[in-house]
Amino acid sequence: MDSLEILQKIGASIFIVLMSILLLFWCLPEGYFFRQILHNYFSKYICWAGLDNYWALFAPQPVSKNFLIGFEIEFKDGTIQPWKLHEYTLKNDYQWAPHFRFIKMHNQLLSQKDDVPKEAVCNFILREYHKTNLSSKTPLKVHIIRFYEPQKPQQRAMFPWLSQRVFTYELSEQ
Amino acid sequence: MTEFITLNQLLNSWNDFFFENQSTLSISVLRLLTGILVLIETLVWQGKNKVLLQPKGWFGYDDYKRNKKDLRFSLLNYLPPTTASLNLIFGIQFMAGLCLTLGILPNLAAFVCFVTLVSIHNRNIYVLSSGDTVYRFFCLFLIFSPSDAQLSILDTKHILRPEATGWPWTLIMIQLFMANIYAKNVLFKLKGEWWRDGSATQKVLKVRIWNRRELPKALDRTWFFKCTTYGTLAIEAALFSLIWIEEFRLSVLALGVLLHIGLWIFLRFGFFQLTMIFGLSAFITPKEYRLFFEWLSHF
Repeated sequence: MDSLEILQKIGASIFIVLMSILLLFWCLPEGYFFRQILHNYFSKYICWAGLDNYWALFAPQPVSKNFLIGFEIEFKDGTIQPWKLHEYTLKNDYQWAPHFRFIKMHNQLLSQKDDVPKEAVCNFILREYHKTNLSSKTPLKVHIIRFYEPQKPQQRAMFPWLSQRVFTYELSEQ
Repeated sequence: MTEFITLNQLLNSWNDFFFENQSTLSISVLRLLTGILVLIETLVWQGKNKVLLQPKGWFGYDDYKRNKKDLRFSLLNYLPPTTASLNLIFGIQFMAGLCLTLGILPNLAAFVCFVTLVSIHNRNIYVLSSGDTVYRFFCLFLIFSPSDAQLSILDTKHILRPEATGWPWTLIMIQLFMANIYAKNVLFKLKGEWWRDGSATQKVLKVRIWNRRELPKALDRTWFFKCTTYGTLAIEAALFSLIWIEEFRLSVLALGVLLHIGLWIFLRFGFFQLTMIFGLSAFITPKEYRLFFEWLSHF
């Protein structure tokens, strides 16, 4: 073996070991020691390089409920205008999206977690509103509305969908 | 008397396992399939999905800059925030994907694909699926694949060259990567009550936005949900364990492909299923590929 080959093997072996540690321990349920080390000390670099990986498809608990999403723009004069994103259209009794990436966003917008995508979509709605509406009304807030099916069949018979504001984006005073 | 392993024996085993020359056919097929994935996705992004990345789109540049730009690498961080910059990245990715598919400078092409994929994926992490991660990692591993490649358009007279060999460690890493995906899936699923009581698929198949069509009445039965829930767990468990045993390998692979086709039929995330089916091809041996290509050549 020449020295170049030895160097290549050492380099490849280091890569194999590091990659194996990443793959084995990054995506583990919370509480595992090595997972905590990776997430606490190395997540900055791992996420930056696009090496974060999650493999919990429909797990531990899969999605189980139907939701619809809607938006409202609230103006300074107290009036409210409903707003629809064309990518989410009603098909029979449920919302349909043209591609799984919009379904992913649907989940993000209705989840309790990160507010960043919600704010971004509210900003997008405001940009679209200003493009198409030249009225003097000044938007004050954008609300994200979640429509959900009531649990009891009697309730469902009366109201197939109930709604709830899940996020409000307030515009800063100019 | 017990015989203990020496450090030298350990190093030799490591060397034999990862660095003993083998045919490069399996990794070359995976390279070609990964190139196809890159091309498909580059084209799919050009449709309605582009609004998810555009500077004035659903995750506008200002929101990205405020929240993610400093945390995630993307070539778009260093380019003007315009749709033209986005198109430039997609253009480079398309060319690199084409080179990867055709076997033109495949290692460099894999590197370029990895960089452009990270750039696009990091630009809006909220719309990614596991399929994106799978083929991003394939590109990463393919950067280090043996340079003595097969299935290259540059050498049409010798598309298949049995004498082409190289270190198998990149292929082994991809196999371990695939097995790890199934292992983690089983681990997380077993933590969920509905996976343990056999009702998980009943929940999933009733969420309309994820389903291609309404479940036929004949299948809306407890036995069907139990079979599909426990069947999924059993096949995924086999895909990280029994797949390493030669006697079971091909049957487990066939079950894995059937599982992903089944998911494809019912659920609206086909790209992930395609990446996983392509990924499973890493477990097919060069000998089996040669038989397949010989059979194909009859037509």
